[in-house]
Parts: sequence; C-alpha cells; structure tokens
Amino acid sequence: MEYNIDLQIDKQSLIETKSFLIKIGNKESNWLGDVSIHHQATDKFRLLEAVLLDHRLNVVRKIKAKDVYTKNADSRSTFFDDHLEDKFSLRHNQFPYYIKYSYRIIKRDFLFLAYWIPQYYSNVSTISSSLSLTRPMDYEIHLDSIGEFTYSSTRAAGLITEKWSIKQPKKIGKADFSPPATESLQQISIVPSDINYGVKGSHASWEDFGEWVANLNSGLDLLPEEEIATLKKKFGHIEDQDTLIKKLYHHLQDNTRYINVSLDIGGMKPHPAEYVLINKYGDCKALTIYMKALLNAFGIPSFYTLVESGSNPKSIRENFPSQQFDHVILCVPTKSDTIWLENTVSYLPYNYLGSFTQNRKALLVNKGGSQLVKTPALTHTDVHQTNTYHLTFEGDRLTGTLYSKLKGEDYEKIAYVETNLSSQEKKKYCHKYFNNQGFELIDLTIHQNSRSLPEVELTAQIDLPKHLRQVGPLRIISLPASTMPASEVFKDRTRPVRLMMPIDAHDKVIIDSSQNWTWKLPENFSLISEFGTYQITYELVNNSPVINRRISLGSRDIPIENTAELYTFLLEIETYESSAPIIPTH
Amino acid sequence: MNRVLRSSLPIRLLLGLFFIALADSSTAQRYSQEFGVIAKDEFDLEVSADDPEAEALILFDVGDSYFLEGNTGFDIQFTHSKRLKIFTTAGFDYAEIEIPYYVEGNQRERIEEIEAFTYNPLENGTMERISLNQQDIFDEVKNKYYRVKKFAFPGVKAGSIIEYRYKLISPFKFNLPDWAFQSTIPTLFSKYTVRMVPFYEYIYLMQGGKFDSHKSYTSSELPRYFAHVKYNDFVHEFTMENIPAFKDETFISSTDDYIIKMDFQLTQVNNPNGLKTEIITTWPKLIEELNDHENFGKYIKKAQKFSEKTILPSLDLSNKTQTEMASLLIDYIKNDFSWDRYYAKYANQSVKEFYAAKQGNAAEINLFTIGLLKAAGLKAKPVLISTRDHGKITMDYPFSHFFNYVVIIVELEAGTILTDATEPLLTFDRLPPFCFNDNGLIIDEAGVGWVGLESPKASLNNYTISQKPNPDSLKSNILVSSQMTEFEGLKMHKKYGTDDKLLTKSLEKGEYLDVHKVSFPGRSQNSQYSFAFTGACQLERVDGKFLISPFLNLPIDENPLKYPSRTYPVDFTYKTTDHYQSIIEIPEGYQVTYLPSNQNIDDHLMTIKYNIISTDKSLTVDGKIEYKKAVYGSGEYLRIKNRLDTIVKTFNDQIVLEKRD
Repeated sequence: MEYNIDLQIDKQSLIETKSFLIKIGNKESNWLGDVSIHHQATDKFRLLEAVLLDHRLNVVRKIKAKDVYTKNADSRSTFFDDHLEDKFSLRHNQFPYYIKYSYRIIKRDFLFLAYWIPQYYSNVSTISSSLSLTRPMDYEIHLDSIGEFTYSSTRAAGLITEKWSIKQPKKIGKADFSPPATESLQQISIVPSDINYGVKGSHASWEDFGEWVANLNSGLDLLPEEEIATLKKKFGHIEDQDTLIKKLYHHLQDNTRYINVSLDIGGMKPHPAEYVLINKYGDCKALTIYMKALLNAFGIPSFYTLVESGSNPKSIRENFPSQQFDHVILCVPTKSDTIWLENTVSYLPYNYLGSFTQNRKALLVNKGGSQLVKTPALTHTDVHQTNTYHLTFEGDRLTGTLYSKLKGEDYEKIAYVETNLSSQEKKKYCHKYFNNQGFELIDLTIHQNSRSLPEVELTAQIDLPKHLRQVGPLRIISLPASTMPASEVFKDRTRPVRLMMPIDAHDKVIIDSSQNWTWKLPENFSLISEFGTYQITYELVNNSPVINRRISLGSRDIPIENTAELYTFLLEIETYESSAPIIPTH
Repeated sequence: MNRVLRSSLPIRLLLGLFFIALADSSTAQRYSQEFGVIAKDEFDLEVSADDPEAEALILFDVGDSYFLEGNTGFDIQFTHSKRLKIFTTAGFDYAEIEIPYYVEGNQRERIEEIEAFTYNPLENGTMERISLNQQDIFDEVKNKYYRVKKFAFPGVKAGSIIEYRYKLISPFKFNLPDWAFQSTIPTLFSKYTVRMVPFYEYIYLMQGGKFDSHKSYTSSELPRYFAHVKYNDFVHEFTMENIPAFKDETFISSTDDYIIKMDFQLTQVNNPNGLKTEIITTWPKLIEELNDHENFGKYIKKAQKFSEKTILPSLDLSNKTQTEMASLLIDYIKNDFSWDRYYAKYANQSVKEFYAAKQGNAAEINLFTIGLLKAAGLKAKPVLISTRDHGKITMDYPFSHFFNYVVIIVELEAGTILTDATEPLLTFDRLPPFCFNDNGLIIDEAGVGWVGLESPKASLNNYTISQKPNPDSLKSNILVSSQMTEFEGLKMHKKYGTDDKLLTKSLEKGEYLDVHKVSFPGRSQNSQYSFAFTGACQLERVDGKFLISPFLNLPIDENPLKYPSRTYPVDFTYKTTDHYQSIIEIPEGYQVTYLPSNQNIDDHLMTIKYNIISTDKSLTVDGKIEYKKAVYGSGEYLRIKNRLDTIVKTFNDQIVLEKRD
C-alpha cells in the first residue's frame, strides 16, 4: 500500500527511515508477513514500529524486542559477510490484514544516499511510494532517474527538503534473453557530490569517481621487498613482456584461490596485496590488487577496472558517475595489445574475460585519468563450437561417439566443472549436461590442449534413445537439436530482447551404414535473416549419411517490435528440424 | 576500517620445518596421527590409493569427549583434530571449515582454542607451515539456535596438507557429541575417544561399518574428585581405518541413514549422593517423561484447558460425528494458524503466546491441536517421528534424539487417522510426505505403541485426452483434463497454484505442444488439483505417414534409474498411480496402419497396462501405471529399472495414420 523513504543528512551521517504498510489479502500472500531487514554491521539500526492491523486498521499485535532476532545475512557468493539481517514475523489468520513497520538506519559510511525503486517487490504491486531527502543547502547531490515522479521541495532553516512520489509504479516481470528489469523500472538514485567514505572524493565525473577509487586503493598494490626479490629470481630472466605478464598471471592462478570475506568498508576497499600473499586467497578486489602488485614488481603498469559482472548485466548509466559495479578485473596495456585479466579463477586462460565480463562498459581506474572503457566482446570465432557425431545402430539402439570442441560459455562451464567439482559432482553434472541434449552418457574424456586456449575437447560415448524411434515398420532418426535458443522464449514478447553473446556452431553427423541400409534423407535447407543463419546439407558418402549443419546468431539488442521476426526465424528452423527425419530402410 | 587487514599483517608465519621421518622400512607408508607432526609419506601421497578420483583425503580425524568440572557441575569438552590432504583444486572446499555450535537461552556451547595450519612442500626439501590468523575466524549466526565458527585455511594449493583442532565446551549433557566415521571423501584413520565419569551414563548406536578397534579401560591417570567422590575416568576408544567415501545416490531418504556413524544418548545421571536418575532407558520411560514435560505433555493439557474456555464456545460441534468434529477442528487450526517452517518436538511459546501470534513451530501447532481435539472429547495423542531428512529411527533403541517432529494420531469411529495441522493443503486426515519415514512412536500413557507413517493411499495422476488430428495443417487439436490427488495434488498446488503461465510453460517443454488456454475447474481446499487445457500439438509427417503420440508429451520419457546396480533402497516416498486415457479421432479419408501392442503386466511390484480399442472413426488408448510400493528394496532395483524402461517405451510409442488409397 505504502512504501516511503525519508532521508536526512546530519553531520556527515545519513539517517534513513523506511516505512511500509502492506495489505495481505489471502493466505498465499502470508509470506509478506515475514519481514527481513538488511543492514551493515557498522550501521546503527533501530526498529521503530511493527504492528499487525486487522481489516479495520485496529492494532491486533505489536512486535516486541524478543520477537526480533538478528542473524548474519545469507550470501551464496560470500564466505563471510558481516551484513546483518533483523527478522520478525507478523502473520494473521483473518484476511485481509495489514502489517505496518518502520525502521531507522544511521550510516556513517555510504556512497549512495538513495537507490529507490518504488516497485518494492517484483511480484507484488505497490500503490504509493515516496522518497524524501532533507539536506543542508550546501550539501550537493547528483541524481539520476528513470520515469516520471511528482516532485516538491521546501526550504527552511538552511535545509532543503525534496520529495518525489509515485502512484502505482509499473511492474516488470522476468523474461529470458531480456535486459535486467532494473534497467527499466522507475527509480531514483542519488549520490552525494562529495564522497567521504574511506577517503575523500567526488562523484562529479567518472574521472573523479575513479580518482576516489585510486586513492582508496593507494599503497595496497605493493609487495614486500623480500617477495619482489623472490619473484625476480623466478621470473626476472623473461625478457618478452607479454610472456612475463602471462607467467605472472599463471603464478596468480596457481597460488591463490577466490574466497570473499566482506567486512565493513570491505564492499569497496580491497585487502592489500600482502594479505593475498600470506593467505593465498582473496576476493576479486584483493586478487586484482595482488595481480597488479605482481606486475608492479616488474615495472609493468596495469589498471584496476570496475565492472558489472554476469552473463546479462545491467547496463551502466553513463551519465551518472557512481558505484554501479560488482566486480574488478585488471587491464594491462602492452605495446602490441591490451590484455584483460580475470583474477578470481584458475581455470580460464590468460587474457580471456569470457561471458562473465565481456562486451560492457567498465571503469578503468587510473590516477589522474580514470575513464569508462568497453571490455572486448566475444566474437563468433570466440564462441564457435564444433560437434562431430559418429553414430551407429546396435540392435534397436542408436549409439556412438560425440567429439565436441567447445568454446565460449559452454567451454567456461566445463572448465569450471573440471577444475572445481568433486568427482561425484562432476559425474552428476556431465550426465545432466548430456541428458539435457537427449543423450545417455556412457563414457567421457575431457581434454584441454593448453591452458592458454579458451577451448575444451570432449570425447563422449553416448546412447541416443530419444533420437531413434521404431514406430511400427518405420525406423526414424532425428538429429540432435541445434544450440539455437528455443523459439517459444520469443513468442508474444512484452520485453525487448538482449543477446549478450553470439552463437556459432558447426555440427557434423555421420551415420554408419555397414548394415546396408537404404536411406531417405531430407532436402537441404537454409535460412538467412538479419539475426543469423541456418544451413543444413545431407549427402551420402559410401552409403553413409553425412549431415553438416551450421548455425549462427548475432549478439545484439532487439526492440520489442522486432522480436516477432526473431521468433519466426527460430520457429521456422524448429519446424523444419521436427519434420526432417532420416529414415533408414532395408 | 578493515579488520582483517589490520590483524593479518603482523602475524605472517612461514616456518621452514623438516619432515618427520616415520617410515621404518623402504616400502611401508607411515602417516603421523599427532597434531603438528607431518610425515614425509603424507606429502608424497598424490592420490588416495583406494579412490584415485578423490579430490582430498582425510588422513586422520580424531575426537575426544571429556567431562570437565566447572563451577556448576560438569561440562563436556569435545576436542576435535583433523588432518586432510588436498589433491586437486576441487578439494579446496574442504579447506573452508564451519564448526557449528548450539545456543539455547542463557546456555550456550563455546568453541575455543581453534588452531589451523597449512603445510606446503618447498623446493629445497623442507616445508612451510602457515598458521591461521585468529582474526580470520568468523562467528556467524545461522538461526535462533545455531551459530558457526568459520575460517578458510590460508595458503592452500593442490598438494597441501591442512590440519586443525579446537575445543567445544558444552553444558548440554544430553548432547554428547556424536561421531561420523565416514565423509564424502575417503578417511584413512578415524578415532573417537569418550572418557566417561561415573555420574553420567550413555548408550550408543553404531550405524554401518565395524570398528577396527574398540578398547574400554579405566584411565591410569591420577584419580579425580567430585563432591567427595573419588573416581577414574572410564575410557572407550572406537577406531576405524580406510573408510571409503560416501557415494550419494538418487531416491534415498537421507544421507544420514546410510553414512557410518555413532550416536550417543544419555541414559542415567548418578548423583554423588547415590541418587540415580534414569533419563531414558526404555520407551515407556521416554513416554512418561514427555507426558510430564512442560513443553510437551503439560503443554497439551494447557492447550486443552485454553481451548475449552476460548475456542470451543465459538464452534458448533453439536450433532457432529467424531470424524466431522476432527475434520472441523483440524481445519480450524490449519486455516487460522501458520507454521513458521521450524521442525520441532517441543513448544517454545506458551499456549497464550502461540494463540496470539497465530504462528508457531510444528510442535506448537500439533500439540495445541491435540489439546483442542481432547477438549472436544476426541482421543488424540502425539506421535514422535523423524522427518525424512532427519534420518531413520531404530525401534530397538530408546533414543529421543532420533525424533525431530511431532504429529497427531486420532481415534475415530471409523478407525485411527494420522494428521499434521501444519499443512493446510492436505485433508484433515493426512500427513505431508516429509513425514513418511518408517514408524512413529505414539506418546500414550497406556503403553508403547508404534504406528507406520506411510500413507496407505496411492496418489493419482489422471489425464483424459481428446485429439483431433488434422493432416492438412499438421496439427492436432487437443483437449486435456487432469486430476491429481493426494500428494501429487499437493505437489502441483505448491509448484504451480493457479499460475496458468507457469503451468503452460511446464506443459509446453518445447515446440511439440502449444497450450492455448489453461483453466482450473473444480478446485477445492484439499490436495486435489485439477486443471484442463486446450491447445494443439504437432502432427509429425514422416515418409507420407502421420505419427500421433496418444498421451502427448505427458508420460515420463526417460528412465530416472540410470545405474546398472544399487546398494540403497529406491525410495519414491509414496505410492502413485498414473492413468492416461486418450480418445483420438481418425480423420476422414485416413486409416490406421500401425498400433502399438497392448501390454498387461501385473505383479506385486507394479501394474503396467496399455490397451487400445479401435473403431473406424476413433481410437481409445488406455494406459495405467501403478507403483505398488513407496519403497523398493535394492534387490528389486533391476526389475524396477526394467519396468521403467518398458513404461518409457510403451507410453511414448506412436500410432501411424495413412491416407486411404
């Protein structure tokens, strides 16, 4: 019903008061009565009010101190996080009922004053929401907004109070292959012009924000002299700079592991290089600082680079210099190229960002010259994979060998599994991986030719129970599905489409014909659209069917009005594939 | 400021140590079991000899429980030390340690003296030892009762040896630490020593495996004194060696049911003044104690009184049969009170607090319900159970910690029912599937009674399909109506509710089926779940013939049992029956040229029926799969696997239509 935020600046502290009035209409919505409030351990938190109201807004129950318990916030990606979660429950048995609660958090350290998305729950409507900010007249802010809001402001006693409000902000549901909903939900973000968090700085420009990061990190990227001497003894003989960078990167990969411990300002400030040197672990910031320190030891400049991670990240709002990132990588300009280093994993090659950070804006932190840059995008060549099937009949089974050379995201997943999962987990994953393609895995060999190549080779013995059917007298072989996304995802789209990476594959299927089958093969088929291409050819070589299928789909943003064309393109391919069986007869 | 940063810098500890040579012959491998002493053979180990795929190996795992005299009596001091060899990067997970401890009110367990070291070989033949910085040990609150101390070993690489030890001081004599000999990686040596004092007596239960050594003796240390009683500890040592890794399999109730471990139960407290207090030596005594327990038996009595005064006057129970009364009262609780998702066998809130909060743990809900049922004159009793994820109980041993949950048994005119008032989607006389775990103990003053928890009724999935194939459009128009009952219905309610989009997505699973409209006719409060949909499915044309799947894409299309053999039972939780009926209209001018063969298999394991009745204008295909057991023994595995192969093949077979000449 109501979701209001009141912010006040008081002597460099931010006093944030949030209040909620939530109507719970039926038992299925009772989960809304379980309240969880997150805050940092260093914040001062106070629950101001929490009451349950009946449908006439009479108070039924009040939350007492003993009803609230505090625990560490759950986090999948963090080994330990000192963020806290205050939890209480207000549930009732007569519907509708209301819960009303408010709390205050006083923050000393903050980068954002507000990151307000009035549509609070993704799946529950908000009726009314407001944000107000009271600050001294000389306290400058930067603001960024998406959508229209009702605005008012008042000035009194040297303070300015601004208020934004909105009724029934729009809800945006989840959709596959769409930009994150937070790119288009109505919202207001506010940062102070001047940063006073760890060290002083400014949000005036990306250069200024980068300068603040550089100052926060100052002095952390240094190793003890004794360690530098050891490194020089080990790597000092390498003259070629590219080779040296690569060797140092491998040194990082072979001697450290990723563990995220997030404490206090730990959200932004890295552990120093020496922390990683001792513990041999760290989070992305610490490991990147350590990598930077390794390069520093040899006088090689490199740049700490903030980036939003994930295969489908939220785009950076370029007109709003601020902390919009959740990950750090390292950029190393060399004479011949620019090298990008992902420092948290041991299984990816040198100078390979992969699906996690490719093709997006990032903030390159350079004292005196920070700037937004774009990370290199995975190209069709980078993701091109080949699958070669040699299939044969064994009685009424279709069985054979699949040799795959994987690149791109599939390569990354297999490389992760190979390095990080136990033998039991690995078996489970691989069976599932092949199962999803309709195969039963009998035996598998995973082979990586070189740690420098972003590709992996799989040789699998497989059964294909779903690809051979005996329907009465008819024996029907259907081809393994292509790696094109399913058309249904793009049907009747209400959200635009974002394809972050291209898809590119060549499948070759050879079916053994030692039993003198006569073959009925489908016609060759090809389809070309602005989105990509599909081509399949059939031929008989020594009476063995040889099928070659090539697919390609580009990476791009597609506005809603064009998504129907993509749907049609993919549907045509699927319709063709489902009606193009291979029929052996005697 | 960064606390880790501040603390970590001063205590960098890299020591050059020499290996301790323990090998007394050139071939024998010798491993040290002394904390801090590393044998060369331990570094030379490159894989686990018996399990070369293992990513890590437990070199030793040693526990020692000791009764420590404190100001208010004894505490248990549990000392645990463990050493592992990490073979690959996949083994790094074992270098992140969590030590749980329990907090209840003012009493709490404490973790003390954590020490942890990583040992890495150096190129000059020595090794480095890296110690854990105490500031890198974190204390995390998991929930109201459990906390963990957690830390990550520093300096870990493939090839590292890591070891740690700590002390857990516990005031909870009921919780003498149990011991798991087996882990998800192999263990070379596991030893648990329990040093008993004459004031507490325990029994233990061993699950799986056999001790390689079991010694019991009186400690030869100097005598101890407590309340003028002179005594020596009586020591039990339990040792196992070369324990293989536990391999998980699908369709098992809980890992805890199969892992090699020993559990302890306090049975008697012997006061120094000679007074003996038997804690639990028999089931009758356990029952008696529960009946007298403030948060169990007495809670029921209070709930009964409270219900008589507060609830019953507002309910009309006149002219109702016992069954009708039970239904009304149990549904009243289900509708008016919410479960907070905590499993429990004891109440935490008072009766009044629970009634005011309208929410509580499972014990509060069910014990309160028993009170309400008794207030109405019904014979209702609590039944202690162990939920599926909590492991199996053993009826031979009266261990209270076997149980983690309480449900209700009610005697009615038509017989007894088992119920759990936490689950509003089930009818008043059903337990939810997580309770189906062998037997429950009836807490009845009259004597010891057990009740089987498995539901006698099978859950039904029923699909009625009508198909009108149109060879010109290569589509079949379809109409499907489905009913799921019992636990299959509950599963659907929880998974999809009335979210037609979610259900459509699940039904379509690809391009074969195009769902036009989903409806939910005739939904009721109980676990029955009905839905219907209209749509179209693809009509496959192959070589001039048209192929029809009678049951669309609804039956299972692959066998979930993959392995050639199995050591554990196959536990499907409850019995199910799947019934499909499809009426297929034969289009004008077309004829059927192939029909799948009928199948009729019926024995004590399963029924598989598949029959087709054909006329010129239509086909009626009827299929039934009945799983006659919820749990199949490992000896029945191959037969069940073969049956599932038959089901996959038969129920996905297709019918062929051809144009008449």
